Amino acid sequence: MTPVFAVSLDALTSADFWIGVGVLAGTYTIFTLGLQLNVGFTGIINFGQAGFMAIGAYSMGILVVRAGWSLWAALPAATAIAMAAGVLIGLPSLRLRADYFAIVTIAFAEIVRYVAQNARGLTGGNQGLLGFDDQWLDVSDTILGWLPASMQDQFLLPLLIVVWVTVAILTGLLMLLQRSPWGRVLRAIREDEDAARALGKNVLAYKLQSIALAAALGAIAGYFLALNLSFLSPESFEPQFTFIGFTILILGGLANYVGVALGSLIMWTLLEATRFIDLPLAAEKVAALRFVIVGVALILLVAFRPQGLLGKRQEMVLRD
Amino acid sequence: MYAGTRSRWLLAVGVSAVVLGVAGCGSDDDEGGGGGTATTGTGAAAEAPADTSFDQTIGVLLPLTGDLSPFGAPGRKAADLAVAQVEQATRAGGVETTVSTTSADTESSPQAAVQAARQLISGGATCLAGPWASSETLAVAESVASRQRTPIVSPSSTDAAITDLDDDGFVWRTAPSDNLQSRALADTVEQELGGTDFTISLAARNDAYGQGFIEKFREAWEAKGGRTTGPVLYDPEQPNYNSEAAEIVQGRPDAYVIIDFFETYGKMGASLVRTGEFDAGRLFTADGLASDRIPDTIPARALIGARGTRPGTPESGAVVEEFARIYREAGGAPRQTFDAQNFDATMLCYLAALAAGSTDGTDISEQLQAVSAPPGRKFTFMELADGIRMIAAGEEVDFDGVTGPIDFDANGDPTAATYEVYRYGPDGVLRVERQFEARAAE
Repeated sequence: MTPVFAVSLDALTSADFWIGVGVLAGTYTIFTLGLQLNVGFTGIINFGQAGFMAIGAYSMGILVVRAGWSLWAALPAATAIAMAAGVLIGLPSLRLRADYFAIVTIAFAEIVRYVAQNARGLTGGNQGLLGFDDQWLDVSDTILGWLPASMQDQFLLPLLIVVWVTVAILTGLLMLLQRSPWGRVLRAIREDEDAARALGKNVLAYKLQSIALAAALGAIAGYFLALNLSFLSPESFEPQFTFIGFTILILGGLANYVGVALGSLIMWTLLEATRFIDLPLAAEKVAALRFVIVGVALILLVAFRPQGLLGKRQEMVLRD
Repeated sequence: MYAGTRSRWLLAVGVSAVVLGVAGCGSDDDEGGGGGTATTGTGAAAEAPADTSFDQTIGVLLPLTGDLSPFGAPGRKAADLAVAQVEQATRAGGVETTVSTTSADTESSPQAAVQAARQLISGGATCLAGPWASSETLAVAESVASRQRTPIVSPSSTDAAITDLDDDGFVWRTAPSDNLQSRALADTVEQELGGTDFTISLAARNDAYGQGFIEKFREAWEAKGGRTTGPVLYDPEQPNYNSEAAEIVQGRPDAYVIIDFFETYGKMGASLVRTGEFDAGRLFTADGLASDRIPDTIPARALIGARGTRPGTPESGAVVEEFARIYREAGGAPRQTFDAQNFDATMLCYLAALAAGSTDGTDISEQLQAVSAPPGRKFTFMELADGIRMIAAGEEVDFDGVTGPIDFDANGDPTAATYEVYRYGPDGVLRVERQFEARAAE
């Protein structure tokens, strides 16, 4: 009757495992940094982050594969497209109250996914888009060449390094931005929009800037997702993606940029390490139980630390 | 504050108790299937040539959760059966190899499939049976198989795009391309209707399988001179399909071709029946809606009398019956479309390694075509011991699977496939009416 509960520790000490987790965690960190800026610091509920990610990744893919652009030119262009999409969706909908805005953004993300699924000439539809990463693979090989010989067979290592360097730079930039007068206005808007407006601040403009920056971060995360999979398909951009981002946000703590990285690492370690759970059960039951265990772990974390790992309680409770 | 902490503790204890309870109950009705990463080792025999002794780990990528989860458990069982067959045959065939499988859940998602594949490879697998969904296979092919030089043999990815993949010969599949099946279905519809001067209303679930298949069917049917309306592509996540159903039955078409899985067809079928004009006797479909009997989740009137094609098993029969027998006797998961394809995929991973005399991924890849296709002596898994002896002796062989001759071409597709034409009887039971072999066009 006693359940045999074993996790093979060998797997958890292998470099392969941590490199894989690291790439995913880094990608989701960048993705969630955008949510942190919107939700944690501006007080706007953005449920459409997966849509911005899709716009960024697909714009990059389409520019490289269909238009024959160089990857390095396509990256900034795709980021600009994602930011423009952010402004475009924000202009009519940011005037709405927070909850209505949330509904609009999730609808927007679904529209993007449906377009990706059906604009077959551009996106390849459900058959997906391939062949945009040749130039990245050359760079990846170059980076691999700089590393010691013992690491030569870890072909994901260059991606891991680039992802986390990007995470560090972006987190640093966002923290600087948050300390600037601009960042203080965002917080003021989060606490009391009317008060900020009364002080003569153009609230809509600030919110638009916040959403455009979040869209750019979503797009950057999209590039890393695309480079990791070498393949873009609409299935990779389901709304679930945004909700994993929100889970990371709550895990790490609202209004804390470092918490995002921590939350992301914990989330992906949980999700991937539970693959190694070995129970004397049929394989499909173990696979389902994996998600039960992750869910329970998340419930416990939230139950014991509702402000998240690094969040401050004062920042979470807006109006007592 | 204090009380709050205590109630959280109670919640924690309660939740953990539920989880342990689930795990505990589960272990009672377990049939000995392995866990997520369980390893099934097999014994070795003595007295073998030196170049045929190796320990091989075959990775099995399965959709144990998500949309394709009905295929997961039967697929896992089929892979284990293949290894059990190899185990017996190596003893009799006198080679000193050992084979084991490790499996991982692809969650029916490309990203999870890539993670699962990398995990299996880092766990020592050098040949992967799977993944199942075409989108998973495309992602794993590009970012894992060709870069980590590990062959993948998908049992069920029928997307035509996989044929032309620039994969350095690391991507194989035991399920025929939709190119083949859609033409086979068009031939079947022509025979069943007695001509092509008909208008067919087309519909499919909007994913790689449905969209790819229906487009190929439309091309094949129109090439025959037939007319089509649609295709109506519908999102599998929708709660109901009333407007799509109305569009499908509009204009009283002579027949319908609907490509779907059961999960969605429960809703689509109900909407079709509600239109009052739908006649399942004029419905043609494919492998996604084939099952021993119409599941309870499908309104019977949406499928009774429907005809369809599915990749079958050759008419010779004995191999198929033998597979059905060992599958039944092993207990556990019932038969499911593509289970035999996974059996063949796992088997081919081993046979190619044996022919290469190595478990290196590149070496296995180079042998996959040779062991599956002519020239060479034909054998099936029923003569596995003889086959293994011939391979060990360096002879050329041509393995015929449960699902047909396989005969991989240079793109890694089976060149020939057997299709069954089935029909759901008034009692909701699937009956196979005939079989035919389809060959890829040159």
